[in-house]
This record gives sequence, structure tokens and C-alpha cells, in this order.
Amino acid sequence: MKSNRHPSQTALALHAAGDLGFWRSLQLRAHLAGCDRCRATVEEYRASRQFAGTEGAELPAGLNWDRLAAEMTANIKLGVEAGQIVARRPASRPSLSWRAAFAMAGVTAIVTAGWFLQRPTNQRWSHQAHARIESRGVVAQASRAGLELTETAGGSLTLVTPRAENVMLTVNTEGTVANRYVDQATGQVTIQQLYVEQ
Amino acid sequence: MTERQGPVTAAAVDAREFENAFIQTHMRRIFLLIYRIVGNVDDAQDLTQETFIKALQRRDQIKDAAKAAHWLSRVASNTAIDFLRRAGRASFTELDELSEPLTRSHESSPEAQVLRHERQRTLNRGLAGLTARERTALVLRDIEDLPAEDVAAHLGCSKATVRSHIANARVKFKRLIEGVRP
Repeated sequence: MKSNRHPSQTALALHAAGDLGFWRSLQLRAHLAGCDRCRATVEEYRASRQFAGTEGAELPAGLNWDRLAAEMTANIKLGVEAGQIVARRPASRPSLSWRAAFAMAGVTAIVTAGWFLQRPTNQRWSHQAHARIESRGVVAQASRAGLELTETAGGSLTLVTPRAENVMLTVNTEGTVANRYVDQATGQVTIQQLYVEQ
Repeated sequence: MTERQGPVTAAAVDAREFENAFIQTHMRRIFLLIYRIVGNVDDAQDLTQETFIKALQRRDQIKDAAKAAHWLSRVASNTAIDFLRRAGRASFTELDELSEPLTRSHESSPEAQVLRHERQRTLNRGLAGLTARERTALVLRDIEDLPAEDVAAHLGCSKATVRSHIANARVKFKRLIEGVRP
């Protein structure tokens, strides 16, 4: 059975390399058997496909392949090595084994215990409004207003802490009073200490 | 110490030998595949290098030598298509526009050189007139001679779609080279 209608160019192009489905290909073959023009077109498609296949497998005219291949090979190796270095980097991070962790915990415990035993026991920080110490007729006292040194004979010396906040007062049994405060205007932390020599 | 270093060195040597063999076996084919898709040597060179670096970084996937060629072609075509997507379009460049060091001085006879140059120019003209998808489909089907199913897998589309790309590409290509083919 021959069809009078010519197949489309796309059908002929696909048929030229056997890319048409079975039934469509069968129909087209029947048409080609009686159509010289379509047969010639299919041959042209085959020829252009062969041309693409042959020329496409050739290196571009004038290309120095050996030189280009050597350059690409060197760059590829460099790229692969660089990639390996980057990939290795996270693995090289030192990991802490459980033994090392255990040893570190032991050392920390010893240091903490040592600090606890050696900590100054004769010093107290306080948020109370007043701290006072007296020795041989001299009174040293610290308040939120400042530090004051007073002799029982009458003389006194006052170190004022104006506009202070978060004032901490300290009394030391070794004869020291101190206050620590934050200046409201500047945010500066100041520590004042007053020693009474015994 | 020596016992530990021995196998590591041997493995490194094996890896290097594998790398060399892999590159030498496939480089020309992959370069040409990419060159036909992107249309110029400079981009093809960069993309070929990128393809091999990607492939060798995933060398555990290329133990089977028979499948390696197919897998590498797929990496190459995807790399080229991604590049064209980023670049917008292919830039077809004649080799005589390139710098001198790439040209070969000991080419065959001048007539053969001219003929070869003309044929390459015709091929480039035909490929340049296609869309990126059509060109890739044509290169894979008619130059690489892959079955249409594989081309569809490369392009990540159905067989019907790839047939349409191949058909359109062949029709356009034939029209573009008609009358100018040497």
C-alpha cells in the first residue's frame, strides 16, 4: 500500500538513522518504495549524518593536540591533588581520645582542688552598705559613699566614690578595707583599698 | 614503619597509574564531545579539565571500565550543558582566531589543510545554527553514536522529547550545510 502524502522532514530525518518507531518506520518504508524524492531525501540525511560523524571525530584543523593534551593532563592532575588536599583537611583535625579526655579531666580536678584549698579565706566580698575594721585607735571603714580612715583622736580621711553603682565592699582581717565600683558616667571599674598597718 | 609505608606507596602508585591511563584513554573523545557542544577550544579545554577532575574525584564510581566511558560522556555533556546555561549561548570560534602556539606547523599538504579547514568550518556552521539541546542531542546521537535511549538519559528527558530534538537538529543541520559542504 502506497501513500500519496509525503512524510514530514522530521520523520525522514529520524528514519535515516533508524530512530523511528516500528510501525511508523514500516509505513514510511512502504512510501519510500514508491517515492524517489523521499528516498533521495533520506539519503541526504544519511550523508549529512555521516559527514557529522566523520568530521565530528576529527580534531579541529590546526590544533596542536599533543601540546593541548599535555597541558590539560597537568591541569587535571593539579586539580585532583588540590581536591584531595581540601578533602583531607577535616580528617587531619586532631581528635580527642577517651584516654586523653580522662587524663585532662583528672588534671582539671587536681587543679580545681588545689585552688579550692589555697583560696584566700580571710577575705569577704559583700553587698552590705557598710564594712568596718578597727586597729590601735584607727578605724578603716568602707561604705557606698567611699572609704574613710578615722583616728579615735579626731582626724579623718575620706575617699569619696561619687555616682557609683554595683559597689562591692571588702573587709580583710589582715587590716584592709576596699570597695569596688562601676562609675555611672564612664563605665570604668575602680578598686580602692585602704590598709591599716598593725 | 617500612611495613606500613609499603602498601600506602603502592596504592599511591596504582592510583597515579590509573589516573594516567584513564586520562589518556578518554581525553581526546571527551574533549571533542565538549568542543562540538560549546564550539571553541578555550572553553572546551576548561570544561574537559573540569570533567576529568570531577570524574577522578569520584573514582570509586569508575571501577567498571566498560561503564566508565559512558559515565564520563554523561559527566562531560552535563558539564557542557551547564556551562551553556550559565554562558547563555555557545560561542563558535574558528581556530585561526586562536593564538599561534595551538597551531601545528607540520600539517599535511596545503590543499589537504584547506580542505580539512573547510570541512570543519562547515561542520561548525551546521552545529552553531542549533539550540544547545539540539546540538547536544545531535553530537551524542550522530557523532558519539549513542542510542537514542542513552541520549535521553544524558539529557534527562523522555525518549519522545529527545527524538524531537534529534529530528529538528538533523533537519536544520542538513539545511545549514547544504550547498556549502566541500
